[in-house]
Amino acid sequence: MQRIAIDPVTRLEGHGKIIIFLNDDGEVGNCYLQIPELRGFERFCVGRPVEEMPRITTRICGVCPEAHHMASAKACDAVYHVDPPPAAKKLRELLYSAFYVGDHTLHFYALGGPDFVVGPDAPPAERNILGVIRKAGLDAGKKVIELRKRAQRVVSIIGGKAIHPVTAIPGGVAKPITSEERDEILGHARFFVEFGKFTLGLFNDIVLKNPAYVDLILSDTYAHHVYSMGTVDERNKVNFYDGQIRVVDPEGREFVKFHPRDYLSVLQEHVEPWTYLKFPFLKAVGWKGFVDGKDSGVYQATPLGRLNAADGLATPLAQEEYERMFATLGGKPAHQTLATHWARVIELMYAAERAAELAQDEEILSNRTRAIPTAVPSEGVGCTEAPRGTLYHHYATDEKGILQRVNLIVGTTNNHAPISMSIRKAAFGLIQKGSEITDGVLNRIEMAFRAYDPCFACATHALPGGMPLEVQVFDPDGTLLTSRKRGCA
Amino acid sequence: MERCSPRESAAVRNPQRTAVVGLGNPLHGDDGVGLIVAQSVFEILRRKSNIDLLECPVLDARLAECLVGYERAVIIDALIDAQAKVGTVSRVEVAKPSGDPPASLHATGFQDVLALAQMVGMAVPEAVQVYGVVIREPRRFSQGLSTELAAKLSEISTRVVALVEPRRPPGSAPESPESRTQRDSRLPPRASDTGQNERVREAHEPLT
Repeated sequence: MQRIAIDPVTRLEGHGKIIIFLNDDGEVGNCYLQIPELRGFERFCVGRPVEEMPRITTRICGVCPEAHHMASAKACDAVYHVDPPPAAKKLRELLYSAFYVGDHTLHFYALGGPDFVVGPDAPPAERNILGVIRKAGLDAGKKVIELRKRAQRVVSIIGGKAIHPVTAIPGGVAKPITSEERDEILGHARFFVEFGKFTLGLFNDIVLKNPAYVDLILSDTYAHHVYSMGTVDERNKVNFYDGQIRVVDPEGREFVKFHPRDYLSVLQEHVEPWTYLKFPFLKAVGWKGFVDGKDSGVYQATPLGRLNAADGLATPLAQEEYERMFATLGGKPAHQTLATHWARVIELMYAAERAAELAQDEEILSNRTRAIPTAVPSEGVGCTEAPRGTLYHHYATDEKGILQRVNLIVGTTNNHAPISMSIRKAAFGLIQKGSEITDGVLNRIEMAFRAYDPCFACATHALPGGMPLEVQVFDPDGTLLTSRKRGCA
Repeated sequence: MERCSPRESAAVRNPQRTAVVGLGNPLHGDDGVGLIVAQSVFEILRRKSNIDLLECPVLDARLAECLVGYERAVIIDALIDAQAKVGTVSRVEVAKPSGDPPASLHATGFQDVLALAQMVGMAVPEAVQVYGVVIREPRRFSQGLSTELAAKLSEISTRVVALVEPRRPPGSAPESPESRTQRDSRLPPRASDTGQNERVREAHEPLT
């Protein structure tokens, strides 16, 4: 058995390794995603006052602290049996919408864009955010930087800090905003909307008008028929901050809709001996392995999964594009993994419109931003849609609010099984007997991985600032035939 | 203390500023050493330099965005190096843009965003110096530094300050790009040249 490893070499744990085994015929024998994941965050939290969690949990992840901050605050609300005032909920959602706009923007221009704007087979030196801007124009680059700055500014105004927000506390938010701050936020939100329209236009002009890219998106190599999960409001419209969790089957029929506090009755986790990752699945369907179909409990909770699971989006421009996407993809639900990039841009549009809506809501100027908890704390679940999937924080405390149990299901965890299936299918489809394993082939395998924007490095960071890949090819005797390094400066 | 924030900061008004950046996670044991050393370096230098202190969890796009407008950035982070003694301070070469898109936002290029800012005409630091403080890999979440590392904190900070502030005779001109190149040419081969790793270590004696 030959062995190919796509192994990110980083200084700390937390990043993934794609290992592809070739058989004696030179074809793919098997393919695994392994994560040397850092464990123990839940245990670290036990014994601490629960109200510290919204600030502690922002340190789990350097990319999405806002998501943990919000899910944690909502879990604290539940633990203290307190319902935040409307102004607090709206300020939280406004902060969260700005975070989403910035996060999805960076993903599209830095991760997805290079493959679809520059091209999956373009020279590596051009297949990056700079290549995207060269093709889209310098004005696009200025807009990206401006957008990111404004999004972080909104997070900073409401959250108190740009990177590790501190505003959300049990029962609400720590401070109201002033009318001057609201005016500034509204200006930023209007910019978000214009930027969303610009990005949708870019996606349409450069990606969707290129038949080769459309074929790539529609390719069976990147398709999986699994269940879809996402948070919806009372009208089954997508909501990132609050609502019920809805799951639809591979044909698009509602399978279950549940309150986040009931997640343990819906989800179960499967373990494999070759990875630290756990693989959540739908308990009522059961774990049948890494397989597609209605009889397999595998589900996805991604931007595409969220749009599949909902009946639409609550803002007009996003809804318009939502309808166009499913019409283009052949109906709903869509199972093309690479369409996740399109779904992400639509979500960007929704978050921008939602931020503008909330910024114009006079209620966000209310000084009543907190309900003081008075009940004895006990147990609660907080849930938001993180950009990478449904995020659950589950805390149980003693009567003094000291944590006794903590359980987190982070966004990417929901997608461990479909990610594994996607890279396996791409490897099988792209590596043929006797063919050279080129950079282009490896990039196309990575594209299956990248569509999910997996988030494995919670609590760690890679100092070199890159994610080098190493490919090693061994013959059946274990002799290294060739190796290929990418991203190693 | 000014934290990492994209707001119209002092850097925009005064491009002569230096950003001292601590990277790391304060809940991950010795991984947080960069944050502590950066604060200490900031306290030492703030009296004689025009500097801000920034904190960031990762060397990523967000940090690069925060550095737009600064003339110079000094970044201090934890570094895993099994061959070096704990507390050794090493100069680290930031990876050049790889060309390929990163696999996740965790790896979104710091250099890519600086290059993008430069491409669209924004001011970016002319010099970005990264210093790594050698630690043993923390295996679990914890607060505070190990006893071994904590005992060396003062010495580490002094060492970083000495590296950040190259001694020059009073009135002498700043180091030219040419002389910097000559100095760098005396360094051990780059990691990419040897295929081993990405670090470039200057000739620092390990702390004892």
